[in-house]
Amino acid sequence: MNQEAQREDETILAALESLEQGTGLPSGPRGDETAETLTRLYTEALGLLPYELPPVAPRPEVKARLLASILGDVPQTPSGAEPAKVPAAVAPPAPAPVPLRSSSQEVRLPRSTVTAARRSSRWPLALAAALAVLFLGLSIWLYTGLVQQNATIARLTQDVEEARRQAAQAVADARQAGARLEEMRERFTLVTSPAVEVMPMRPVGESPLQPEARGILFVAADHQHWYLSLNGLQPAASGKVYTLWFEAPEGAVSAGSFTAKPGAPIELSSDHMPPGTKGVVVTLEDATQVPSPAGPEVLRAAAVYQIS
Amino acid sequence: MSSLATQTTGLKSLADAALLRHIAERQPDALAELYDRHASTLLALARRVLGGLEDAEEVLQEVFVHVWNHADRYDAARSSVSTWLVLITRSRAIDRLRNRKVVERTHESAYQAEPLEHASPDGPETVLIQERRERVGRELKNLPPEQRQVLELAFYEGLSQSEIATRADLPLGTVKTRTLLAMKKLRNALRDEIRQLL
Repeated sequence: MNQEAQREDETILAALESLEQGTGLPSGPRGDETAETLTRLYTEALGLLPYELPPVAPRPEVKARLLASILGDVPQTPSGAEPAKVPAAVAPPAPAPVPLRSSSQEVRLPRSTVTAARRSSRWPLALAAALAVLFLGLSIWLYTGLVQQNATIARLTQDVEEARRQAAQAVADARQAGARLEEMRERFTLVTSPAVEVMPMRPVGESPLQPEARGILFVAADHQHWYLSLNGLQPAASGKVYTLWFEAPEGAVSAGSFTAKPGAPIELSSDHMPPGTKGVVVTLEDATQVPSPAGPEVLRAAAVYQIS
Repeated sequence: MSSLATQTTGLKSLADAALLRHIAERQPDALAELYDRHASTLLALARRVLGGLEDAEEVLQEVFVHVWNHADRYDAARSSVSTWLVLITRSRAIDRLRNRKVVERTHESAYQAEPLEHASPDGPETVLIQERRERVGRELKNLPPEQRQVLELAFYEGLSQSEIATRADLPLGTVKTRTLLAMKKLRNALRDEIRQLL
C-alpha cells in the first residue's frame, strides 16, 4: 500500500471515529491541506447517506411549534414601527403565546412538545393511577379507623362489664350489710330486752381442754330466741368439729356444729330452743354427725342470770 | 405583491449558506425556508436511527432550534450546510438512542412497524434535493451488501469498528477493510454530488 492510500485510509477511519465520539463534524489535522481536503470529501460523502432514505415529511404542527418557539426570540418591534413580517407560508396555524426574549438568549424548546402531546394521551392512565392510590390510601385510613374503633368498643365493653360487676358486687355488699345490720339489730334487741337470761360458758373440769375459751349465751324471755358468743376457741383438729348441745328433758339436742379460727369470735343464733332446756354445752366431736354428745366437753353454761 | 411575498421569493433563491447568515441575524423566515428544504431528509434520518416518529420529530425540532441558536458557528470550510445539518441530526438522534438504552430496537423493525404516513414527495423540497436523493439511492444500492452493512451500522447506529465486529461476528480487520472500501466507493460514486456541495 502506498503512502497516499494509507493516508486516505487513516483519514476515513479518523472521520468515522469523530462521528462515534459525537462531535458531529469530523476534523482533519490542521495545517495538512491534503488531509483536510480528504476529510471534507468523506464528510460530505457521509452527509449524503441519509438521502438514500425515503423522505418523511414532518407534520405541519412540528414546524408550527418550532416557529412558535423561535418567534418569541425575535426582538420586539419598536413602538410605531411596522410589525415584523413573517411569511404567510411559514406562519404557524395557531402558535401558543410565547414570551419575548432578548436576542442574546438561546431558544429552548418547551419541554418535549411531542412528549407533551403524548402525555396528554396518558392522562386517563395517570388519573386512574392517582385515583387508585387515593382509593388505597382512603381504604387504609378507613381500615385503621375501623380497627381503632373496634379496639375502643372492646375496651368500653370491658369497662361496662367491670362497672356492672362492681355495681352487682356493691348491691350484694349492701344487701349483705343490710342483712348483717338486721341480724345485729335483732341481737341487740335480744341482748337488751327485758328478762333476757344470760348464761356465761366456761371450760369444764380441773384440767379443761381449752382453758382460755369463754362464751356468753343470751336467751330471750320466750325461751326460743337465743344468741351465743364464743371467744378463745382453738381451731378444731382435722376431722373434728365443735357441736352445741341443748340439754332438754328428752335428752341432748344438737343446735349445730361449727369450726373456729384463731383469734376470731364465733357468733351463733337461732329462733328455736327445745322446751325445758336446762343446760347448754359445747363438745368436740367427730366430723361425722353424732346423735348425742360423745366427745369431751369444751364449754358449759355454768349459771343463769336474768337481766331486768 | 407585498414585500413579504417578495422576501419569501428571495429567500427561496438563496443558497443554504446564505440562509444561515439570515438565520444568524434572527430572521425566522430564513429558518422556515431552510426547514422546508431539509426537514423531510433529516426526519427520515432521525426516524431511521430512533425508529419512532414522535422521537424523531422531537430531534428535528431540537436540530432547528440549535441552528437558530448557533447559526453563526457554521464553518463553511468544514462542511456544506446540508452535511452540517445531517451530522447534527445524526448526533442528536444517536445520543437520544443511547439515552433510551434501546439499542436492540433496531431501525429495521421499527422502521417497518410504522408506516410512512408523512412521506411526501410533493413537499417543499427543492428539485436539487430530489435529484440528489435519486442519485444517492441509486449509488448506494450498488454497494455490496456486506460493505453497506458496516456503513449503516457505523452511521445509523453509531457503532464503533470494534462494536460492528462484535455485532457482525467478524474480525476487526475485516470490518475496517469493508468500511474503507465502502467509503471509497461511495466517494467515487457520489463525486458529482460532493462537488456540488463543496
